[in-house]
Amino acid sequence: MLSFPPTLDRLIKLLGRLPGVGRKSATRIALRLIQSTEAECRELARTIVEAREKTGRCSICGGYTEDDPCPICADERRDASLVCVVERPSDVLALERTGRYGGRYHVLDGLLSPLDGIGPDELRIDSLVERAGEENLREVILALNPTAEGEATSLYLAKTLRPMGVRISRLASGLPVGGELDLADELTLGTALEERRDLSA
Amino acid sequence: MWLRELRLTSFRNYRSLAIGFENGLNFLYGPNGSGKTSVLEAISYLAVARSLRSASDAEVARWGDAGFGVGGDVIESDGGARTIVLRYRRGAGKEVSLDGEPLARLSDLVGHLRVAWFCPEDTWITKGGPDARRRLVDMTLCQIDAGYLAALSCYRRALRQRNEALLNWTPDEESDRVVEAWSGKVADYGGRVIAGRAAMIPRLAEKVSRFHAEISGGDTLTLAYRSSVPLGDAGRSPGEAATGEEEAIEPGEARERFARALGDGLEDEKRRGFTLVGPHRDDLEVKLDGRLLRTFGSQGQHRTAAIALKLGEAAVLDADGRGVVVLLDDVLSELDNERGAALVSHMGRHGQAFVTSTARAARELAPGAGEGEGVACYHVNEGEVVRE
Repeated sequence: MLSFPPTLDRLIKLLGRLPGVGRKSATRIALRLIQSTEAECRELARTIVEAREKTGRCSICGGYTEDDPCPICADERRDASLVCVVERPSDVLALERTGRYGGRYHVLDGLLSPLDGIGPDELRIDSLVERAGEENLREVILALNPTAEGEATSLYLAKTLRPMGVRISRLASGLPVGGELDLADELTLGTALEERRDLSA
Repeated sequence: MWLRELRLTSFRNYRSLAIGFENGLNFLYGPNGSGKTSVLEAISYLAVARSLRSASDAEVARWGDAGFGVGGDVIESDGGARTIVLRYRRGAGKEVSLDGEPLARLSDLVGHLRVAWFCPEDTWITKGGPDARRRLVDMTLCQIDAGYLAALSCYRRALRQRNEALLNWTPDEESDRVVEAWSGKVADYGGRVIAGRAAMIPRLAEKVSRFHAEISGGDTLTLAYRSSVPLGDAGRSPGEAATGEEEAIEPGEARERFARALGDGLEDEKRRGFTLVGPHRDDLEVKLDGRLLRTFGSQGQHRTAAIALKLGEAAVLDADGRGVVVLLDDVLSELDNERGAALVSHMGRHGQAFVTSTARAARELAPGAGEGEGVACYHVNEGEVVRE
């Protein structure tokens, strides 16, 4: 069987370890890379190393950042009394893209899952409780996935934060905007029905 | 609905097979291990995207092959045709397409082809533990209500998480809150499961009683939903034939009652490390002339009750008149000729039925029907199916 030269083969194998990259994509990327200029390859390699070195976690919210605190936590114009709780740092970007949110964030680094051995101590819950006490928060918005794990985590956080007198909300579940009713799955439609909104007022 | 053609690749002992069926009684006969049940199993994949023999997908792929494929043409009651194709590849999982369009979720397949499966173990369904009876209730509901299917799979997931949380429980506030959070989700999904069962079981009970009276010549068989969650008036008929809608319970009400029951039993659950109450411990109670069949029934009474239950299941699946495909897997060997004939003739009324047997003589159970009138015989042997 014909195979690639050893170094190219190694590159394909390394690329293939990346998430979402199968053997075919890895081969395409590798072939494209060896056809680019040396300067382009050096820049890519240097950037990978640099990104790894420079990217850290914000000591307040836990989001990815090069400076500590991160630009969001340091931004005086943002509402410091509003904190949105998310599962992963990438969720912060998703919410920022909406352009509708002017508060700060708190990354949990996961969801409660006893089956995977993840309890409250494995998550950034203590620091959230501290923030709720020290930062005089007005509202905590729970923006976790509407899965069994996400919703159980929301219930846990609500129970934990309730004695602190802070308002606790979670994102609404319902129909996708611009979607069609008969295409929604039954559980989503059922939840949307239960959480319907009053239009008469 | 009925299955006009079935196509298999690398499925069990079939390398490749394409075979047409009749919209009526299809008899498959051949020696043990020849592949009769595999044909029924393939049909179950088209209906519910999994094996009703409760085999894993990897087991189903032909030995040494990378996966399998099942395809079928389903004719709807209005004459329209749909093509369902399910493909499985080791490591990559299952994909389903309907008329060439890939489906986003396997549960989107639900309702296009409905099946009622009857195997020899089912003849003891009224004798053994509650699991088999719950499975009957769940398989029926999942095929007529995709919302129930979604709630049931979420419930099972949340229940496993709660059991793990109970197992790891330590006497501190944090541990209490984790268990409480999972109780909330278990009650949410479980409430929908309970409400679904409470609404369907009276409909099943009514049909089963009628079939049973017909076959047995008058004995009264009654079914009642016995939830491990105290539902008050709902779901607790005093053993009389359950009819009408009075047993219905709203999902929200069921959730409240379930949550309360979880709270009441919590201390005991913490000690024992698992969830003691909920839909996973429900039962379908079967009584014959007011007495619990499970504890006193004779072999013949259990078999007659099983047939009535399965006929009732098929009738509930066919409630909207779109039809149901009945799969009778080697059941006739378990029954005397009289019960066998009653079963085959009743099942045939819903439309298409598949009957497997080691003996061709099973064909004689459909008297009066000649070849070409919706009756076909197939000889199955070593990965080949030949129509006679």
